[in-house]
Amino acid sequence: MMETSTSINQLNFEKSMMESAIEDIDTSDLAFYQAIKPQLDALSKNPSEETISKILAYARTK
Amino acid sequence: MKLQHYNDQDLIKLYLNGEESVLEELLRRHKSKIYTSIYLLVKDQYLAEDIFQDAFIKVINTLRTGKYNEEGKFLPWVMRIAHNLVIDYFRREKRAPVITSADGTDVFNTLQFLEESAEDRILREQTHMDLRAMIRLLPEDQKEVLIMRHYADLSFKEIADLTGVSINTALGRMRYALSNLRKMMKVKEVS
Repeated sequence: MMETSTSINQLNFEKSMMESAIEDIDTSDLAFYQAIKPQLDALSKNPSEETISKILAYARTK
Repeated sequence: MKLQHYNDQDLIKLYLNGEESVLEELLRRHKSKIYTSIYLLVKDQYLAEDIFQDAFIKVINTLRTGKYNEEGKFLPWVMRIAHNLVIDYFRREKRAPVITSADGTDVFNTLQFLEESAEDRILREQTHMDLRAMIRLLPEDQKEVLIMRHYADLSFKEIADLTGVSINTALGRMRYALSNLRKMMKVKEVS
């Protein structure tokens, strides 16, 4: 008989927790999330170039 | 040197070795995730710009003083800094002046504020909303998890660590956030 063992590392633990949690989510809620992902992505914004310039200017100061 | 090919940890090492151009690549790589997360939490573009700037100034100062923990990941670290700045802002906003009566007691102790429940608030404001407005109506803890998971791309463990809750709690908040968004959209469709 072949013996097998499964090693559990933190990554697998978290993944399994997520999967079991996702199983607990109403499947329609999960489908809903997939459906609205593009709309959520569309809300992404960027800071102004002025803000970026200020950060980089600060980084150049000694 | 093509900085796009380096991971965040290697970029940090380069920066600490004096390669200052690295910061521009880190900003390019993560600015949208961090800024969007801040913006959706504070709901003000100019305030979000200030907090974003302050967060990266703290990043630069920490790197300069050699206090950066190399074992940690860069994005969750910056998100923690930004999140703390957002919390500090909300605390300052909530701090109301204490008005004392003649006998020295706080007059607000004599007042009762009736707060509508989150559910009542959602029901009241459900017409003519877009997704951004719906996210804003979520309870703060649910909104926070949704934003950090979707926009900052943090794992649930990282979110749990950042917000000081268990992974299960973070997952539960995400479930409730999705459920509430779905309810709001259904009502909007009906109306």
